[in-house]
Amino acid sequence: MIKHLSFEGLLPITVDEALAIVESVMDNKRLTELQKIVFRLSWERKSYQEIAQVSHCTSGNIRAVGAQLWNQLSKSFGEKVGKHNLQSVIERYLKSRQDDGPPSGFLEKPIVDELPLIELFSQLREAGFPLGIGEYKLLLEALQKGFGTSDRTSLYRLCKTLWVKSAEDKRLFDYHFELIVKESQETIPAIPEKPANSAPETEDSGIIETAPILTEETSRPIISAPPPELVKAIEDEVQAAKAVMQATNKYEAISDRQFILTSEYFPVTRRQMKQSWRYLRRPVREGPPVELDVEATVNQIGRQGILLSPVLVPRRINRSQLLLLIDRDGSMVPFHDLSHRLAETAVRGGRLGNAGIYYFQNCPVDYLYHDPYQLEAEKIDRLLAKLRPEKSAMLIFSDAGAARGGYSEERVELTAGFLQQIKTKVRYVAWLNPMPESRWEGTTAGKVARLVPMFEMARRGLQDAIGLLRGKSQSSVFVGTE
Amino acid sequence: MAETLNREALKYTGKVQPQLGKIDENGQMLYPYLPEEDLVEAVNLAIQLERPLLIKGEPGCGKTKLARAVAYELGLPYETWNIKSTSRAKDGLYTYDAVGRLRDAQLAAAGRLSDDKIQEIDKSETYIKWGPLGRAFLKEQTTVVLIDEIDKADIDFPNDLLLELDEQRFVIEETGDKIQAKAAPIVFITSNDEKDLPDAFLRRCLFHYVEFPKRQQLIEIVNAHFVASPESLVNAIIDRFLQLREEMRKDKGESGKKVSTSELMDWFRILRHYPEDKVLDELGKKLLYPGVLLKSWDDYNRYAKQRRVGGDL
Repeated sequence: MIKHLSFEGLLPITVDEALAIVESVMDNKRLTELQKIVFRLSWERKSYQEIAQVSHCTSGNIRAVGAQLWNQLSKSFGEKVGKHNLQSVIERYLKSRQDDGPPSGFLEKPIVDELPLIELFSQLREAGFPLGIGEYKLLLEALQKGFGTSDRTSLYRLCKTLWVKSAEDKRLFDYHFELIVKESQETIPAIPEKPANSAPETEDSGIIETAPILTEETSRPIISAPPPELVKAIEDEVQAAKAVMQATNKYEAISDRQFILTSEYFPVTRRQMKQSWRYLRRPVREGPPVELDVEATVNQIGRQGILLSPVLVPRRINRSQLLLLIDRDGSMVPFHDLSHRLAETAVRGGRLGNAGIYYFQNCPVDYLYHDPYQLEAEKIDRLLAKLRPEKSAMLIFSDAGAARGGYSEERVELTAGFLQQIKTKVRYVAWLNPMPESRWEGTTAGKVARLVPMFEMARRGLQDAIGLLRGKSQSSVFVGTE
Repeated sequence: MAETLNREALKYTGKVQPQLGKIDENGQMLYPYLPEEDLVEAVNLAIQLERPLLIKGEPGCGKTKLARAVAYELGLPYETWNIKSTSRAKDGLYTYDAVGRLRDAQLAAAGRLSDDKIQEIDKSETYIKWGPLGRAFLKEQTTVVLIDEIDKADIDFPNDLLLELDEQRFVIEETGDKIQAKAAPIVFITSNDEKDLPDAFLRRCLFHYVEFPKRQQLIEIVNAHFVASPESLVNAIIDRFLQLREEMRKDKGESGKKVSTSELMDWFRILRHYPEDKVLDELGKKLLYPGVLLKSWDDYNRYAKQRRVGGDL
């Protein structure tokens, strides 16, 4: 895929190559964006009028940019360059360079005549990797510098280092790489002067050296591709879960009546809730006053005539986006007042406009509801799409089956499915359980508590949960499902 | 131009190790560092492409030590920037002593400053204290900079560093001076994954996940740190260590805290002081010095005694 261009065979060259040549001829001076546009469109034999339309400039403006550009190019190429002889000048230039042999700069480097690994790149992009043209160019640059060219493993490592940014990404990457690169294994860029398995050169002699650490066998094996059923399995699971959900619903509806509504059970007072919330959502300036407020200090000096002490203010801290999910009905009936209070304090206490409160029953599946009576639904997917993963935190208020006791595998699976679903969109998840911790063991809640950090709805628990949502806790790395 | 040539000559091999007991300019002990082959490649890639290398991995598997090792092998100056929860991006570049300047201005106005002092007030650099990254930018030589545990800082922190890392320049707002790096530093960033890093930041970094070393590698690491250790002892200790690690992995899953390389080093350091046959004998029965390996009450209860229970069965 990479080779030294033989220009005779490859003419006409593309506009990108022409631009690269122009920049190399101009001692690697960069063209401005506008110059590039003029160059590109002139290459395609567009008129100044057309160029002006595309670039939203006046045609006089474009003419001026063009004149200046041709002037520069004429100087660099040593012959008159204009809008109409652009292609022929560059072709002539290349031919002459080729006759001289590749002397310097740009021609020394191998040129990529087709885009290597573009398929892998676009696949990864589709898979949601945050990759842009810059990342792709980085790969080209690395290939040109001789990285990843010895064999498939080193190519794999190169792409991994450049494009994979987390351990989770790696799984996806492995899968796509295996799929794409295996098929075209023979055409993997093989730069002849690089021997396969090239050992790192050790030029620094005279320093102590130890034996190479890694043998071929210990180098990272190519993990066999995760089966594509992964994705399907999740879908199936969701569907299975849906069916199960309906079943559990029925069951729960019947057993509702066994509960007696007790009204005054408040492990956390309203004020405490407010305080805790403020902790999460009053992030404007927080912490010890350590930052110098120069303006205020100068004002103070103006008033007092001399500098007595500087005025310090706390530092500004980020605010976060919170999503509060509240379990309603069923076993949660006794806690309705509590959850209402929690929601109310959350809304009122915060200056944070984008806090959202949603309701569900037992387990969020497919839909969440805007109102406690579960009339106005919103699809979870759509809701998640609105979230900004770097800022969102989720607090779930539910007994997770601990109130009734008993263990329901279905409910665990359903919850796990939901947690899996939100995983990519929500950074911190905490679970508040109105039942005391001693009651979780052996019930569904006990199992769910292993999937997600669960706290007892008490002052301490609420504080811990909010601390976690702020990203303060060690255990904040959200585990999700296995 | 000279600088870029220089850069191409920088090639990390991971094979040049300091002699045991050697001390660096800050009085820190230098230790050997045995990187995996792909880590070496990632380092070289980062050097050549002038991108920061983001390193993640289990705590205690040598993320932080890497930068020091690279600086040592390449013979480059080394700067560490330890991030705290209150760190701001600016701190790594410079801090400006506005209070000091205010004080001096007051004293000058009161006529209580000597003439030299008064002249110094007007110099822009008098009140600037450089941070690690700032110092690296000012040095003529390429500097290895370690930004340690970047995830400890505020969520915005990494984004605030984008320009500095990308374009290798910054502006001192108080004086308006523009600082452009004389030689692009080699930047290593470690993260314990307590917070996710912003995508925009990730995009600019190269990434490497440091895997836990394989058995053979562990043996080499131990041998590099403790020369002339009896082979049988090394094997026994590493076997027991790996067994414990495996038990923890089964119980806690991949993401739980497990015993790490650095803990193995500590453990070995202690066990080395005891007669070999005694250690070999005791290891079969119980975990010696569990306090070195097990850091929570829960772990302690579970693993320090488990072995004996297993033996009875």
